[in-house]
Amino acid sequence: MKDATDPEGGGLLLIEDTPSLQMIYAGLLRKAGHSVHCEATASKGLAAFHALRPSVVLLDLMLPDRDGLQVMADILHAAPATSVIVITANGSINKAVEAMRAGAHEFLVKPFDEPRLLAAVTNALGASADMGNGTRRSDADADTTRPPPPFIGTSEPMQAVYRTIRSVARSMATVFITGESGTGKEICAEAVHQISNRARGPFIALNCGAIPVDLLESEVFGHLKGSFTGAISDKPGAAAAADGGTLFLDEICEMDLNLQTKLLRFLQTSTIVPVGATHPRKVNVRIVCATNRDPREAVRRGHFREDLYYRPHVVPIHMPPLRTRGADVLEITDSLLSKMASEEGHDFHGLHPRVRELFLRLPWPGNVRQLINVLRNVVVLNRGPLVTPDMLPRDLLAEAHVSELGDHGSVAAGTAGAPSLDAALRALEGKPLAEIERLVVMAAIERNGGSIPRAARELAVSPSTLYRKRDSWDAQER
Amino acid sequence: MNSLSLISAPRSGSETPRQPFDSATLDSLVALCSGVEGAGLLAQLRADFERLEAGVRRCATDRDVVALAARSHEIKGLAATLGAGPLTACATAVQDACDHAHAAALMGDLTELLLAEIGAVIAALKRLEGHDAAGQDHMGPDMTGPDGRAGGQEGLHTPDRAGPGRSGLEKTEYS
Repeated sequence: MKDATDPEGGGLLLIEDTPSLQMIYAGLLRKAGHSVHCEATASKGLAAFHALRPSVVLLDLMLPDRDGLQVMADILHAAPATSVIVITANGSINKAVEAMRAGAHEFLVKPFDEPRLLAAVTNALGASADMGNGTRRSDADADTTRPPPPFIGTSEPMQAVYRTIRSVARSMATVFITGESGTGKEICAEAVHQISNRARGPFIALNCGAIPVDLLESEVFGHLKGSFTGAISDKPGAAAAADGGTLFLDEICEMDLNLQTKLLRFLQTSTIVPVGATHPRKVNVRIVCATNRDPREAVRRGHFREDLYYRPHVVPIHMPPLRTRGADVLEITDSLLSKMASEEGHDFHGLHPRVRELFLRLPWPGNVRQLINVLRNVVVLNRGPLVTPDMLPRDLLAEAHVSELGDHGSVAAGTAGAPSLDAALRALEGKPLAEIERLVVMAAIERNGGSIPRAARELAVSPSTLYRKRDSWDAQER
Repeated sequence: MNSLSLISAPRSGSETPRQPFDSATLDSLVALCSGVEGAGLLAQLRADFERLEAGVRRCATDRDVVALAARSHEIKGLAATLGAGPLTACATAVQDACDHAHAAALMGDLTELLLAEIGAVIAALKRLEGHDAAGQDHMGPDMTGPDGRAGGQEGLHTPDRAGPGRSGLEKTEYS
């Protein structure tokens, strides 16, 4: 039996103030072979913690004599390697989010069942053992400036991303990744998975925006044979396939509102009900979500459920656009160029100085994905040995021209306060195309003193187009 | 706030008493706690609900919304674990009402519903304990001690008792 005081065994301390729940949880844990010490107040719990030094603490958030979060802060201050599993009823989700950010290993929402509790404890014991023995996964305790694979780049914005990825490694916290298209959101999700204790489990990625609405529920939760026309066999679905690992839901803001409700239930209960099934099934999955939209704006517009926004938004990670990553563009280029050249059998070993200078200046609206495509184009169509300006795709040179125009425009105009094109574009960073259109149209209307016909003339569209768009935006606002 | 349609008042009269929680869930909990911890689980659940019932009554009398929110929160967690859906919904509704100042007027009715649901759960637990005493046990022989404290509680630590004459392990009411 694993004893609470045995450093090899990990040990558990349960701080829960409702006696019957204490009995149930303790019975469950003991039945699984754990030795557990129980306390019902914060003061006695902390005293037991200092006396026993357990590696895992199960902590109810609402204790009679003190807030559970304060207790957790004291525990982690005294022994940072301790894994604290927070227990809370549904109404405490916001506090649970706060707890995860404050260093909780995991939170369990009452009611939870035996597999869920035991999985959480097993993960927590594993994490604590790794921390205690100094055998934590190499990426977690490695040189913190080194990118976790497969990332490339050491710029300051990316260092912040790496730090966050490492800090969530020992946690089960849901991660919400935002960033423009092509910034590497899926790579970030993979890094979160690879660096976690679930690395041996599956990593399942699902692009919610790429699957027809009618099929998405089946793709996520699975279906039973005969549950709908075309369901010729049972299908497990992504959530079941990711059991024991990580489920990456990309473009989550594109998900149908009805399905968002089901996803929220899945996040709250860790149970799935395949299409056509009558009984729920528990799965043990860590969720990582991503979107290239502003999720708060999507909530404001009613496209994304507010409760679903807060539920997975435990640890947010924003992937910076390539244009803000400085010399990373050259590091990525050098790494990819040699790899692609080897694959294509061509002899490329670097960039011409003018191309290097150009790459540093380009806005890269498609980010790393655009850079990869440009390099592949160059390597496939040319022999080397240096990438010269004439090898670059014409549309990339056009982008460079626009960028230069922007730079020159701000200098040539010399108008105090007049924003350059580049600055104007930067102000639109991270916004969806529809929102950019709205901003441009509204600015044109304002510039023309509120006259829609004059704004329409400036934008070379018919006034009815602008009236229709404005009405639609007004309706969305309401 | 949960829909009040989810909350059904306990039936009265000669009808078969409604089971206010999921029997399968309770059975599995009792089976799970079989042995030392499980010996007094039914008694402990009843004691907890009786303590919470008294707490809710006190909060209602004192019109102490903060304490009522805390009690409702605890009831919600315990009821959900037991599979007591109507009580969970009712406790959630009361907690939500407590968290919103405008709901003070609703609080009285909701609290009455909450007390009725707690009463139904306590009555059902008592019936099950009676079955156990008659030998149709969920969890083996009655191990409740002469003082009413559930037996075999070694290793369980709870706050000081509120007073004499209460059965089961008790916790101090902090309001």
